[in-house]
Amino acid sequence: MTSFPNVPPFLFFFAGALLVPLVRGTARKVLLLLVPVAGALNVWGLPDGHVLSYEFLGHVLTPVRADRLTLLFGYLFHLAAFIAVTYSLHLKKEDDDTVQHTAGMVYAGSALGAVFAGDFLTLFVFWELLAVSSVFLVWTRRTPASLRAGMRYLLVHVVSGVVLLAGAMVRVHETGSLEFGLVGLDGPGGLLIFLALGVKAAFPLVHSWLVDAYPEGTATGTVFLSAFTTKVAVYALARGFPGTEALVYVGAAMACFPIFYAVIENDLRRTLAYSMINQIGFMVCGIGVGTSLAINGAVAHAFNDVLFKGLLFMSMGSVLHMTGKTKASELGGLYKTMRWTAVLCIVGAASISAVPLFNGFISKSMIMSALIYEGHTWIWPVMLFASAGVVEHAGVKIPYFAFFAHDSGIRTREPPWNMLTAMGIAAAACILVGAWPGLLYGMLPFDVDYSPYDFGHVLTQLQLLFFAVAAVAAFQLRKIYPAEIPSVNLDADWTYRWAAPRMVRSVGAALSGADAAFRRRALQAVRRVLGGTFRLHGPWGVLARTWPAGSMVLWVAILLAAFLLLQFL
Amino acid sequence: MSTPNPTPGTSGPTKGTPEADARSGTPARDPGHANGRTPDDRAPAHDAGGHAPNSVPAPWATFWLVVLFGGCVATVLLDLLRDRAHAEHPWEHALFFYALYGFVGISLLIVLSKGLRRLVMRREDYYGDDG
Repeated sequence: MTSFPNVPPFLFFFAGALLVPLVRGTARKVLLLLVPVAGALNVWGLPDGHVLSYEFLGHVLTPVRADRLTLLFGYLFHLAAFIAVTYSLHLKKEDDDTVQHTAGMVYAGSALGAVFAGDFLTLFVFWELLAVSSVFLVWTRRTPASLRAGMRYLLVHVVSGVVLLAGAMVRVHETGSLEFGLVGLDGPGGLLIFLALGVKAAFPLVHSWLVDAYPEGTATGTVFLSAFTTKVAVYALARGFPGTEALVYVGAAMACFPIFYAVIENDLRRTLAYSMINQIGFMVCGIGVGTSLAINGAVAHAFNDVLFKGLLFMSMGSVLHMTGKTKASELGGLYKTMRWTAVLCIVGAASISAVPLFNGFISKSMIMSALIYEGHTWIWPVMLFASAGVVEHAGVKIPYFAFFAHDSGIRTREPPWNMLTAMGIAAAACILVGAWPGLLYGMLPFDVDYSPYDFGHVLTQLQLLFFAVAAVAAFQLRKIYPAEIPSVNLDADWTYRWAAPRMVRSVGAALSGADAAFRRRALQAVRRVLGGTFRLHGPWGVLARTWPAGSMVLWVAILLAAFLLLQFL
Repeated sequence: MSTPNPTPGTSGPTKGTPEADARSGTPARDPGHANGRTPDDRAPAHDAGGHAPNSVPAPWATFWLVVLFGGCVATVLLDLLRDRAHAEHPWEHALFFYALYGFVGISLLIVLSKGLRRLVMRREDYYGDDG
């Protein structure tokens, strides 16, 4: 199917971004929906191995490189863009619809540009565009918190881009090539590139931008955000660092630490943000294992995560849109008036919890099996613990506190039809991929010889799920489950949100004190010099007196006499 | 998942306690914590002030608990049929391994999270205008 002559995939979205501000109403809606559809047809027509490259200032740039890995992310991003666009069709002028729609188009286009980029310079350009375009999806929330969180988000990502560029420059210097292929930690510029990708993939300690900014985005914007940035990083890690053992441990840490925060977090969208790091942990771990089964699992999990995490963010976005709240302490009982949203949220919760027949199950089990096959016997229990943790916070906590639990008294109605439709598409995709894994397996980078649906796998997973939920229920019934309390939990961002400003202030105060003392002393010295000069040369100064010409002659004569005397001596 | 919440009037924080304040939306008062920490959360806030009835009718809550219990029993019984000898990980050879791991793992997770909360939880306005 070659409806288009192999246009670079990002161009559709950039063209859409240019056209969006020019039209309104139905024309805008049609345009927004057409862009991902046309783009998807184009990507569908791109042959495996298609490359578009040209020479620029002595370097080969490759804006388009299509292989099985890039094509899979290409399909995924078009599906995600279509769902996110559908979800945001209802936006009105007071929601800054034009800014949000345009930013969404540029953002999705940049994500496509980044995954199809075959060289580091192109990757860098799209890497920075991702940050610059997506921040508007946070800022358009127009709350003081979102403005500040957006600024922090932008700073972190721009720095990540600069580090990427530095790594690329080292690489060009050493190898003479800009090509973005296998890098490896030991490769030229490898560590810098790894760090840059790590920031975008939300590695531990550099993850705070995600849990800081995503929950502050608009109801619709966060759906876009959840799909692209981190998945571009996962793609780039799979491309540049497959089989890097450090990633196994980084991934295990990522999968584990957020689940503790997710239990105690009150903001349900922030809980989902922590959950997102946990899921990326599984992908990073799979990339670190590096076998074809593990890479397939990681990429498949990225695909599935976009669907179920998008669905969960959409369901919480719908709650935010209809009630203006996302905090567990303020919600509850919404199933009475938002039945469909609740059902769709539960589908997302089942998918992320890896319930058999839902999509999370078919990809997570690939990574878990790959861990054992490659001898990571001690990482496997860690990931299994993380897997059970997902059930607690995303499988139970999110739907339970939003839609059931105590009755908050909020009576609202279902969100607009477009929001429900978008959630319906994502939910259908979750079930479709879960029930027919062959649909996804057929698109994975390597041939798949794996079946998740055998008696042992299904039974053990169900056993884990049932008992994990039973533990949560037991804690709830015993009334010892952590209560929902309006609060903020300190995380790595404490360093730059609390400690750094205070440190700068105290250093500033100390410096300004020293500076004032120095100025005071310098002024005193200047005053003393001025006073002395004034005393000598002022109107009554001894050196300012007027002397008669005769005394001058006398002094000259005395000097001459002195010279003569010296000559004779 | 739906479990019944405590009924009004049962044990729990009385109105005016920090927990009750947290539930009713009023800012938690700081009982002498100079560093802005929120008070601990020993008791769930659900029943504070008696204003939070369970949204799920009791019969339905019981129904879902029975389903959950039934699922647990069924998966445990079916575990006897599992081909444990050819399991992939050594720990999987153990009978009821997943049941134990799931229950103990989540219990540990919740208990440790409560500990983490004591360490990291602060009032909502902790970052103020800086954050």
